[in-house]
Amino acid sequence: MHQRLAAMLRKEYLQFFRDRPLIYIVLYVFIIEIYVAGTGFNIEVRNYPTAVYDRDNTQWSVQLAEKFRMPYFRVTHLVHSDPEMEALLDEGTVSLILVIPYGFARDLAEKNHAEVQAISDGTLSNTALLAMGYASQIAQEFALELGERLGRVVPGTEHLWPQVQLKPRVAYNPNQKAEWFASLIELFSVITLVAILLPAAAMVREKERGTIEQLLVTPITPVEIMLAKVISMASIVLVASALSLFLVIYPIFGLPWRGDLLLYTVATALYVFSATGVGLLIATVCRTLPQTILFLLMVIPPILFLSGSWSPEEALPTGMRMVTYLSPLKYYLTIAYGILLKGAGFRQLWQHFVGLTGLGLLLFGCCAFRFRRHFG
Amino acid sequence: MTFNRRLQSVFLKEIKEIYRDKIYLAMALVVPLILMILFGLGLTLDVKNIPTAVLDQNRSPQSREYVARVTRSRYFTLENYLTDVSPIDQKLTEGKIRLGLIIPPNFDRTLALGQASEVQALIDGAFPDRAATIRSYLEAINLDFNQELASRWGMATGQTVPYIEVETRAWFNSDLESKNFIVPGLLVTNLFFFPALLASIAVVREKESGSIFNIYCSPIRRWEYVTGKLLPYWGIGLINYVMIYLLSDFLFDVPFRGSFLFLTLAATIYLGTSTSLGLLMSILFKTQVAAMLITTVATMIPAFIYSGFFIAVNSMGPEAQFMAYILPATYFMELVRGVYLKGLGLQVYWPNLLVLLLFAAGFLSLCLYKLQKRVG
Repeated sequence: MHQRLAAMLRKEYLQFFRDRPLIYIVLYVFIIEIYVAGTGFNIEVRNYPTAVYDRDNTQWSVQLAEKFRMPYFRVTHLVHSDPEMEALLDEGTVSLILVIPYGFARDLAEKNHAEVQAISDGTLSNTALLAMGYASQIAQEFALELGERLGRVVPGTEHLWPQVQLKPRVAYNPNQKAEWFASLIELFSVITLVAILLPAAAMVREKERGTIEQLLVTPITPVEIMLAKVISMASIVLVASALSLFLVIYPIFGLPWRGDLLLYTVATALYVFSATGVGLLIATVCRTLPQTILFLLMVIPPILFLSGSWSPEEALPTGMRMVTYLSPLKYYLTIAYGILLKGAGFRQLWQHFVGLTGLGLLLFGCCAFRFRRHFG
Repeated sequence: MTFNRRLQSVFLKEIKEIYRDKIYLAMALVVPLILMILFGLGLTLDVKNIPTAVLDQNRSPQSREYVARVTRSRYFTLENYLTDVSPIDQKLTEGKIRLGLIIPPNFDRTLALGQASEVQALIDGAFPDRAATIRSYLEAINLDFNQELASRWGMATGQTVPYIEVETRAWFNSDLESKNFIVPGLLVTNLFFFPALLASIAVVREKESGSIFNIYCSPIRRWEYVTGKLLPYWGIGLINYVMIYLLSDFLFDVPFRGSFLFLTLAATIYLGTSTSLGLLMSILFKTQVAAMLITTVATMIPAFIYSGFFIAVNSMGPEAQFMAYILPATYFMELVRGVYLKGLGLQVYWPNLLVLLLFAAGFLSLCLYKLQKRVG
């Protein structure tokens, strides 16, 4: 068995390394793509393009507008009319407009209460919501500051009236560094893509060309054929993901050395095993490469985006939530985040390990079964 | 139509090949719809029902009111009511909760003295954007609570606290539902990677099977061959477009404020761009596996990450902005959301159409340049 497997493995490696563009693209996605995604991807509200429409034009209104500054807001335009405001929002030049109505300062002086408007481009609703939240906070802070200056509130003590001070602490990613999140997500996506696509394509190619028949008349067993594909794939993905961790994510993005890297390696190997199973199963169903591509297109994007990477479990409808248990990425995501970001160990994550292994075995079993039926 | 028999015969051959593979044909028409339904239902960026654990060490009417304000809002769901601190960290690590709220023992007494009491909020930072949103919701609820405390206190003591109310309004997507930008966004991403991948094996397939030599020694001109290969996939793309559009309207009920005719014109050009990109990949590479993997890497992940699908291009980092600007999907994304949500048309988006046309022209000329009718 060892000899046969070794020969088969050698063939798989030869085939991979002979396809030069393939090597370059794998290096590209695991290094450059991860870097670009990590640096550029910022889903938070930063430098939100903003315009100010100050109809009051008093000292206070100008001071309030000045509070809308970096890092949250970047005021790029001063608006003087309604049509101008509409045009800016229509064209997407700015995403938020602060409207300070006439009488703002007077209301504040006399009634102690004034209103302003924050009109946002709701197209990207999640960032719009955040921006409007920040706008409210800035306005309230300004009001307090004003109160102190006017002597209505004693300076330095916010304690003159009862108040709840919220002390938020963001665990695991205290500065909310989007680089960590974005580069890790990208790494997991790339691993998934490569581990599903490559073996599926390689297997279907053997079917299309008929070389699979040749393999089957040799003493090699179907399980060995599949094992060779899994082992070669897993080793390539492991080396490549080590490159992206040690060349990009740790040194450039400064991810803290928190997790047990050995455990992470085991988890990644298990994940590649399961993902390869998905690819191979598709390959046993399809007859031609074009069919395979369509099948992969149906399977890969949902795995990538619905396994809890972009929207967490609690945001999914119940039916969909059940389906995601069939996605190996779901387990891997929890494990990999747990290890790399939260420093969790096997004890906290064992259920997910069991899930991942079980799913891998199930997929692999299905492959072997289909394989036998097909060719045995 | 016998305007060009050579072009026609390549075209008919490609159509026949697609038509003969019934599974492929059926999937080419159905897979985009399945993807659309899965993503439309599953991918929500609305932050709602956040699983929350509360540790109320005060257990007074006032602390309960504070907790109720948080958990009764539609954003948070009370998962656990705890009696000691230690489980909070563990539940956060396991991903069972995303927020832990800790109210100190002397909460109500401190407030009754007119002082500030602290409330701690532990937020899972693994998803930075969600952490920021959770934080912003909490701050808003807290601000409201404080406002009431202050006004009650003010009435009792004669002290006044200035207050600026921010009235928020979101244009174009007034309910701030993420589906309203995700579903049109999916139209863009799906019509980018799907036709590109279908076309990506059109030529390389003939290279692998050797039938490309028939083309080399036939009188057909390069442009005729390229056009004949392109048109069938373009056609499939157009059918996909119409079906996705209908789905967005009838199933997902996304507001459509613009002109369908204009959108169709734009989609036709855009499909030309993505199909010719796929064809270019097919001409550039020697193996189907390489062409397929590279097209996937070049289209699928970038279409979701850099096109502005999740976040606006103007709040990305410089590297990612560069990626966004060299990606055709970015220009179509702006246009599609503008047509759907803002009801804008040609007078605003003609430059986008121009850029898409330039991309298509560029890809096609590269196709012609790289498709040499000779061996090696």
